[in-house]
Amino acid sequence: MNSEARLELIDTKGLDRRILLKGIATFLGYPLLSTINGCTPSKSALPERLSAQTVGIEGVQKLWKPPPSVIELGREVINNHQVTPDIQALLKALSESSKRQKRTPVELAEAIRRLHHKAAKTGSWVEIKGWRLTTVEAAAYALSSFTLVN
Amino acid sequence: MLIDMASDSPREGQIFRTQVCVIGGGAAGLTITRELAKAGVSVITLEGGGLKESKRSQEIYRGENLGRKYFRLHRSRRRYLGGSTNCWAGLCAPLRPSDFERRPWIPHSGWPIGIDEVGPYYERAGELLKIGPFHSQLDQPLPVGQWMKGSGLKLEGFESVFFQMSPPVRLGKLWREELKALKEARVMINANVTHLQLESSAEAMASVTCKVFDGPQFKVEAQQFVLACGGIENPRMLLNARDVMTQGIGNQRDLVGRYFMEHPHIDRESLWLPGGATPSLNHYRRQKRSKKRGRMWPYIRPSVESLQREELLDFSLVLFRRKNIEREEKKHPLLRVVWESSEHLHDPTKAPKTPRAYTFGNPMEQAPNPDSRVALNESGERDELGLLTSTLTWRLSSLEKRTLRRAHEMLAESLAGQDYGRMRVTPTHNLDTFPRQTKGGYHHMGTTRMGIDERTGVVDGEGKVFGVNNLFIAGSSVFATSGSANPTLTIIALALRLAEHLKSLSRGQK
Repeated sequence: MNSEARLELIDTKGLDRRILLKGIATFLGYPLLSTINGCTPSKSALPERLSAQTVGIEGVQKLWKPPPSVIELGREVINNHQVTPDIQALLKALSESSKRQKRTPVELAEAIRRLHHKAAKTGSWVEIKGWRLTTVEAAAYALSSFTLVN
Repeated sequence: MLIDMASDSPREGQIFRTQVCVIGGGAAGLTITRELAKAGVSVITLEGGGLKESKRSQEIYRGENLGRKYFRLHRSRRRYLGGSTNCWAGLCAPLRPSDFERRPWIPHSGWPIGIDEVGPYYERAGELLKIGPFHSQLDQPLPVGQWMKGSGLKLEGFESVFFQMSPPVRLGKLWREELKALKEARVMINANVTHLQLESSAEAMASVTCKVFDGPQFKVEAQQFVLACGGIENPRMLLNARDVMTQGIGNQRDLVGRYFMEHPHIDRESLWLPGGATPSLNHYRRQKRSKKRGRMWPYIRPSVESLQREELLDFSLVLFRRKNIEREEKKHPLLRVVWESSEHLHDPTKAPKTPRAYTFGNPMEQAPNPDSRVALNESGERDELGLLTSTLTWRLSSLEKRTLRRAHEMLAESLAGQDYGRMRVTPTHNLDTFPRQTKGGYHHMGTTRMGIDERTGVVDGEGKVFGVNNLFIAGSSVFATSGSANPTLTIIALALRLAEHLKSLSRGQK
């Protein structure tokens, strides 16, 4: 996957990107996003072009520094799996879910979790060096590691 | 009584007469002997070995492996009083009702009898094996919170059940004094059976010829005969007896020795890293023995509905904690990365500093396969007693491969569905090969299988050899399918059932 393709796939279809990023982070389990302010001086977690287009996203990204293990796993996902369709499918499913499910990061995280459980049930899997991730998890990890693969 | 034919030597050519002659002093043979003798039926039981293991006796079991890698045949069972109960681990579980049924996706599946006919004998079999109060597990899975700590994992498509564990009993030792005291039982040790003699009409057994090492030869004549020498020796004895039926006894359809089944064990393959939502796993530890519930070892098995939906063979999964994480990291790339990522899915403040990791013991059912077989050694190699030795060709099919793969995938899916962490599914994608560590469980089954008629089996639903009126077979060689449960409990249950049948025949003949 090249960086241009990655930019293209972040068509969030009406989702508030700040909430999306927070929602993914919350789903992946680092609650510091919503509770700690300005703890990391990390560079942008999303590609520049996207950041430039999105009002306020810088603020979110400054707080969003995924742990190295999450980034590494995301990188493995990107290197070993054609993850673009999974990301597109995740975003599409989220954009189609009811508004009530995506007002806050916590609600969005819950929506992602429901999709993750559904993917587990329907056998929608990605296998990364033998480790089984749902396509939803794989997409979330891939999104989390964008800064490092750019 | 117990007679050592080596020291209490019979005359050359002496003939002993009895109502029932049991060939083999293992789990099935001794159970039938005890039951019949207690009911006043006169029995002679012929055991080739003595009271202890001897190299000379074990050598009789020597054979050749021609199929996939397997244990050396003379080391995979025991040839002395008590048979392989002298070395078994003690795990007991009944077959499931569905194991007896025909399953369209498993060729040659289906028994001529159902669970209704075997089920009533399981409780008694459990008593004999001293497993404690028997919980049938036939109709319901684990009695949550009643006998076990915690509720275990709630996994969709799976259920928690348990092996009930025998101490384990060594039946030759356990019942020795009792057998000595039983007037109607004559248990002859060091009595090697060398020939099964059919009547000239081939419709019934006439006698059994025996030989004592360095001693005389003698015969036993009986009204009924029971062959109970195990899944490799039963077909070998039948195939070696070719003086009346040139293809061997019961082998008119070339089925004797075919359908050899094991419980393929593929242990410690996949790795599971429990996540923060995982409940206590103390539930899956081997439980200590107690008077109330005996000793139990819980495991996970798929529901019958899951097996039907996926069209798989039966399988079980037992948890093994892996404490040497460094070693596991060498085997499982990304282990630490995945674990650290998984821990963030929950409360990172409560995450342990080192990963908890589990692998699985994975015994599974083998599909009946006519090409998986015991046969006589074509090179003409004979044992010390003059019988042709056996060859074993153990073959597994694509169905076992698919089951192995899907078993681990299904578990991974169920674990993820409950946020129970991550699993690395390693059984190979390549359906041409099995993992290197694939082995058997020392369970020899199916080689004189039950069938509806002689086209589908060697014995009928009672265990009687098709075409031979007074020859019965006992033991796991009559299993038509194997399930994934260890066989001893079912061997004993079937032996009790056959004993009932022989009692009724003996009453009719008195």
